[in-house]
Amino acid sequence: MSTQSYAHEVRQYTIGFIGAAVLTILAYLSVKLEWYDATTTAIFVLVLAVMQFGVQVYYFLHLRGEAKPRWQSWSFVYSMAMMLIVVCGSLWVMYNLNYRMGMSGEQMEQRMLEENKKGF
Amino acid sequence: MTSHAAHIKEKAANATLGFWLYLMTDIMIFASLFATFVILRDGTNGGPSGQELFNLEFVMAETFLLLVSSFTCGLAYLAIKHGQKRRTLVLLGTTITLGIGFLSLELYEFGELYLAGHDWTHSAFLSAFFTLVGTHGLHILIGIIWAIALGDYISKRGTTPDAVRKFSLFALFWHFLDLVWIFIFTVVYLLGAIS
Repeated sequence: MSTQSYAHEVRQYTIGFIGAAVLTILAYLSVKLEWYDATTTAIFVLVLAVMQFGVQVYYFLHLRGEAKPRWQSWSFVYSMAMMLIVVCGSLWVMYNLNYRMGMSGEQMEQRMLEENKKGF
Repeated sequence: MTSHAAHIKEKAANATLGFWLYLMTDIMIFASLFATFVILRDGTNGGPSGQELFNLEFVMAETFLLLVSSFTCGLAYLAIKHGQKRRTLVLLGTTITLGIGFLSLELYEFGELYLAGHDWTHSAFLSAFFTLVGTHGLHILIGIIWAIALGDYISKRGTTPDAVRKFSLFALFWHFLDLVWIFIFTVVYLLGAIS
């Protein structure tokens, strides 16, 4: 990998940095200036976050050009899969729980506050 | 390639893989803290929500300090790989300074919240917030100490193959922390400001 020239490598990092900075600023502005409604903005900033994640992994983490059997890349893929299962799975279970009790998250919060006031 | 050079190369590859696997387990810690935070973010116990508490301009400043420090860290790694000791130390120093700046802003924010009575005992939302952001901050603190030790090592020993290997691990760690911060910035602060 060190066959690449110094200038080329610096350019790669600079592209990554500028990409990450632009994506951060876009996400910030979309929230601050309220470009879209709440749901669209939420999806928009999450997509930007995933894009920035991709940019930083590609330009900063040197996963490209790894020699076989590519332990790093595959352990990374595995961790990402596990992370998605933990995060999405937890959210699914908890929202489903609220739903089955006939409430949204906010209603659940209200109900728990009321119960709290009654004392234990 | 002499057997000595081959040995150093193998040592570097093993160290990188070992450290990489540690980072993968760290992803799982942050994944569970993120899941906890997202589930508990509405549980404000009648207290303030993220929308009322967070200052986006302030968080933007934190984000850019960390992003620029990640960039200078990458440049420092390239410099040490090409044997430029002085440039490495200057860039590493910049990285450390920016990291300390980031941590100071974060501690200032925590202090403000604490003094205003919004500490981690107040609600499930604040507990989850302090745990998630605090865990990241703790990693940053460890990273800063590591970077200072690394700077000392390089200034004494120069840009030896061992120094390059040590630096590559630190660079991985530091880039990883910026990756985690993207999601803290988005999920905790930006999504918190929307709802």
